[in-house]
Amino acid sequence: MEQEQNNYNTGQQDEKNWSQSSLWTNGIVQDLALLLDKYYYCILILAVLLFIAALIIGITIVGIVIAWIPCWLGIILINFMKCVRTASRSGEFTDLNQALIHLNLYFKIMGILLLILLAVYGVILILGTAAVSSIFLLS
Amino acid sequence: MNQEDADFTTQNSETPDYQEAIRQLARSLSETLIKNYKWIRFIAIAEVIVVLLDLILSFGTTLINPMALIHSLLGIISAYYLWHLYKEIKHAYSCEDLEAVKKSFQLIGKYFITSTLAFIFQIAS
Repeated sequence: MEQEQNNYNTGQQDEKNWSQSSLWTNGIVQDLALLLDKYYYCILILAVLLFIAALIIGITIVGIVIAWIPCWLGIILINFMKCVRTASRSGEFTDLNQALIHLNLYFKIMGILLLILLAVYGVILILGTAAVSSIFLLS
Repeated sequence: MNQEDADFTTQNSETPDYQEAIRQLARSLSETLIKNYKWIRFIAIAEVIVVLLDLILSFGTTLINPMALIHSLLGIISAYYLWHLYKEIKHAYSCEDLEAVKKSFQLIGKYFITSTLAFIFQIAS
């Protein structure tokens, strides 16, 4: 009986601690989300610009193959901002965490794109150097 | 946060439970952020290399075109913010520091501002 009472009391204490902790963190999560929410329109403009870039790239036949990438980035950014806005209103940790997961994906794709760009630049440099040196050798 | 919540937080900000809750929150957020810190570092370095290669491959014409010059400068500034973001994320993860998480969020915002401006100037140039 005494054990049961102890368990009950401990459970009540845990519940109280959890609700207190939840209240504290909700306020802080809201503050953190508001820090990102300030840039809502800026990120929205970036997303729109990415869609416009996708449209411009997609005009050519070859461009259609890669036009979906900026489109994808724009969608990720919009999802990121949606989660941030939800977190700034609800103060839920899961929303903010979800926003950060979207941001991680954005950075990963950007990194891969930059890697491809660097490889393209490398090829151009090598071909350019080879062309210039062959002209000198011929002359 | 409303006034009541703010008062409640202020009253309890010194209790060990509150400190533990803050630490746990900082740990959880920095654990999500740290998953990609290597990509963030790579982007910071790669952006500077891309700007330099742009300068070399355009045979210095970037320096004459003001739009292209501003685009290059903004690229370097965004790389600077990303490098600081990488450092803050590492600090937040190792020290479970909420202030570092806050700083990281501010840097993310600044990075997006410079990225947007760089993109606009790229289109303009």
